[in-house]
Amino acid sequence: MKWLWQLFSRRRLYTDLGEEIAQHLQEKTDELVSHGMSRREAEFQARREFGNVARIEERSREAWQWRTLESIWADLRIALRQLKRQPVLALIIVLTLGLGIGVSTATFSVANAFLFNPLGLPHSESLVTLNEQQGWQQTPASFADFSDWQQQTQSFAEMTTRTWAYLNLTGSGEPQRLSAARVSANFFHFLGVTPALGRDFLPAEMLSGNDHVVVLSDALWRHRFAADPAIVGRQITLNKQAYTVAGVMPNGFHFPQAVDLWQPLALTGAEKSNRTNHDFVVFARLKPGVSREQAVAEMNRLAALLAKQHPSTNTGVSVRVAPLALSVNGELTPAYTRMTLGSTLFVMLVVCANVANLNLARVMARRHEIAVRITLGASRRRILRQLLTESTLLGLLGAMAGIGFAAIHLHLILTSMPPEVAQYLYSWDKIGLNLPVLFAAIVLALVSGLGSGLMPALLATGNLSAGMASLSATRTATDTRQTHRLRNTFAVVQVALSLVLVLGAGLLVQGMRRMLAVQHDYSPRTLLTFMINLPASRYGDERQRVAFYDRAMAQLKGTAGVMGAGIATCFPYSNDDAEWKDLSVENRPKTPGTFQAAETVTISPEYLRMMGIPLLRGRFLSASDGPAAPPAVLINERLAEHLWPRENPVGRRLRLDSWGPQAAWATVAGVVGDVMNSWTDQTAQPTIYLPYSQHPSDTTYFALRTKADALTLAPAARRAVHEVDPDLPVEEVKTYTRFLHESLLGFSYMVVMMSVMGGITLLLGGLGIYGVLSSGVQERTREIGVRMALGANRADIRRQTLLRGARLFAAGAVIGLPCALFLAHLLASLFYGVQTNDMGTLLSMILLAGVMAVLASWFPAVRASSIDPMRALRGD
Amino acid sequence: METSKQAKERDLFPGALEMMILQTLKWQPMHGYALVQHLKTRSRDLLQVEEGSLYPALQRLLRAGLLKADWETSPANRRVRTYKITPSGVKHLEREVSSFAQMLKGISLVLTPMKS
Repeated sequence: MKWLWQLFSRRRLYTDLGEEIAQHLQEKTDELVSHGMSRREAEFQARREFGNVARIEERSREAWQWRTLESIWADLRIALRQLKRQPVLALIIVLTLGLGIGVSTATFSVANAFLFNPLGLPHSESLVTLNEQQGWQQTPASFADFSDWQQQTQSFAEMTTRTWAYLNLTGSGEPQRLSAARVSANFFHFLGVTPALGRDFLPAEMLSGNDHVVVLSDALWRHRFAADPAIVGRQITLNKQAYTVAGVMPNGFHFPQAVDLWQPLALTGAEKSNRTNHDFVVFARLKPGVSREQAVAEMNRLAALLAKQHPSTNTGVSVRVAPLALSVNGELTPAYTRMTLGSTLFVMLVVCANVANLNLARVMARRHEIAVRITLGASRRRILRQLLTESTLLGLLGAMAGIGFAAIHLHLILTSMPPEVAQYLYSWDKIGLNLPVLFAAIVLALVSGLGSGLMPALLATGNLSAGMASLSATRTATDTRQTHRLRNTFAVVQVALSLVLVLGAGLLVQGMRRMLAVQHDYSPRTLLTFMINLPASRYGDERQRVAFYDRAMAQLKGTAGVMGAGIATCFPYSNDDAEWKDLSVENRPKTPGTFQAAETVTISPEYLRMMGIPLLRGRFLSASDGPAAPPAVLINERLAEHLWPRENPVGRRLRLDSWGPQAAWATVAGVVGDVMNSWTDQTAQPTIYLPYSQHPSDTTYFALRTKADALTLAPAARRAVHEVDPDLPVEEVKTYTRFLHESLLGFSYMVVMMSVMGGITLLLGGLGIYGVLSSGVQERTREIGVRMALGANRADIRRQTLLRGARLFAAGAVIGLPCALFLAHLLASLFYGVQTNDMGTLLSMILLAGVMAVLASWFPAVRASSIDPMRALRGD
Repeated sequence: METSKQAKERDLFPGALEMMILQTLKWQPMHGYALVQHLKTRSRDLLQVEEGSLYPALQRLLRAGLLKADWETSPANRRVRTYKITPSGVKHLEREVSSFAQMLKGISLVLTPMKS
């Protein structure tokens, strides 16, 4: 650290030195005078014997300097002075770079959280998830299959599982619904994490009856229990039963998504041998040296064996082995992130091309100076270094601006994300301006600074004779031709890249609009939605649940302002997949290995009508389909076509396998229109609607139809539910509009980002054309003057400049359009709603870019045509 | 190239001036002007040291931590910067002198006319 101190204390050192030398000369002079010399002569003599004061001071100072640093510092100071000489140009460059770096840095921050190390777990590259796949349907494993995998495979060092549960916490404060993970004994050991307080589960606690212990999440501990350090060993009330707190997990641990607490997975013998209940997410760690392919091969051999042993449940079941990192954020979030990150590359390239052109203008204006310095003996390398120092400095200043932009950008992202969605995004809390992100910004700055400065600097120092010629007013032809070619290339590149982005963004926006357009079928603004979870301790019996729903519906319908009320376990476009259930048809034996299942949604009779979902055949469910009535269901068009093609399904009977083989067959009462439950579905899934009175679910969404803004009804709705049961938490209260937007958040984030980036590149592309044309006009002022003097009219001159702009745009389009079409195909294959053959959007985006090009050419063209020939000719 | 040019201007051979400075200051702390006078008289004016060339050498020694300097008032009531040798300066001097003595011995052996 000594050198650092010296760096700062240097000024004092130098003053000391100056004073010391002055004293020396003084003393010497005094002595000479005392020997009888005149003062004037003595001063002269003292100086002569001392030597060159300036040089000696310089050499003394050198003793303190760190050579390279000093000269870099000197270069930087010169660079700063140079930039100050062209402040507007420098500012434009810094802002352009800042815009690019800002957008890229912010996107990188998101990508860093979602893509590169989403888990933050030790050796996470060897962690995989195992899922079962039958046909195209992928599900978690059944517990019996998990046990077989665990005992009969060699590829994995360790395997663990978890399933879900919801618990109502009561006792201290408002009742609260908690999400819990029920985990097997080795779960925490598997992940390599230990509780921050207390302990995790003991093997003995994996037995039914011993399992009333929980481990709390850091968030729950802080918010609900005020971070009480004595919490371990205390009892809390969950579902009206006492549980002991065994430990608290460390802050930031929430795997694979945020849960409030963990419970031991204690199963009964019957539950352990169940092969139809696919509720167990399996995680495994590959043994060192075992590849994922090897594991897949082993798992598929085992799956085939299990299919032979348990044909009724395991026929056609294969196993998917996926990296854990992929599975925690699903496939969509990484896809959105990758798409956005890829787009920033385009933005950075456009920014660099733009800045390169600006740099070219900057250094070309200094060709005189450069030529003089080279003639006076400066090496080309020295001048290159100086020029590149300037572009690097610009890059770093750009990074400062960029970090500012990125901070704003990240702030907007973080605050616009509703917390109830963010909690399901693994590693959401890792987004921010952290060290890797700042590092990325600096690297980006250096690369873009140098990248955009290199070609101009080479060109400016390359052709000495041209530089010398520029000293006299005439320019050589080769010089200008080279410069022009470079400028045109940069402009064409910008046009091409911006076209690609703008077309991509256009398609995505159109896709999103198409997706959001469907929502208007449901008039979402006047629909209030919320969720209720009935705890098993008090609503364990079906009759209790039906009674609750009956009373709650009556209460809600009687609330002032409510025009209609309905319940459903899954709303259209909720993105929560409805539960898939295997089903059987009366008098139709099942063929093993064929997948016959449907999404099941439990509803109240008036729900479909309230949502405007049409009845195609038969009748809707009604109050008469009560608990005692013969079972009735509705099916959607897709399932009708699937099960009874070209037949009338009404009156036919079917049964869900989970009801058991003794259960009564349910009659199809009617066929209703198809509804998409997820944005990512390309088509509607086969769906069965069950009446809640016959199949009351424990977790249900409520929907209330109102006249005006639905949110005003929220307090009344809460009160109505609490009339029925004051201990029930009413959760996720929001309008259906908000509900839909939240389910589309990832996609809309990508769309907004792509649009912003498309806009930026389009603007920069326009500026690129403008820059090339206007500098062209400036250089050719004389020529234009001559042509006008010779009789060319103004319209011709204007047309000529516009034509040059058109040529640049056309060249960009020739390169950019094929790339854009390729991107369009990619987008269409990835995202629902995006269509490649969307000619309207494609053409309007090209038109938009064209308008930008015309605007960018118009001003230089007008300037060219308004040149006064007399002044132009006299000008030089 | 640059360093050799500097060395030529600086003193007799690299390191010699530094050695003499350290030796002098080991005997007694003094300020720059006094140091020059001392070197001149001790060498009986045989060494033509440019007075100013002392200062870069002093700065290098200061930086290396072999000397330290303090502003003081001289007996003649002048404000002078007095240099003192540090313990590591003393050690450095001993090492330099012994290696210098060896070098000198080597040179003188080579230069001694051979008996044939």
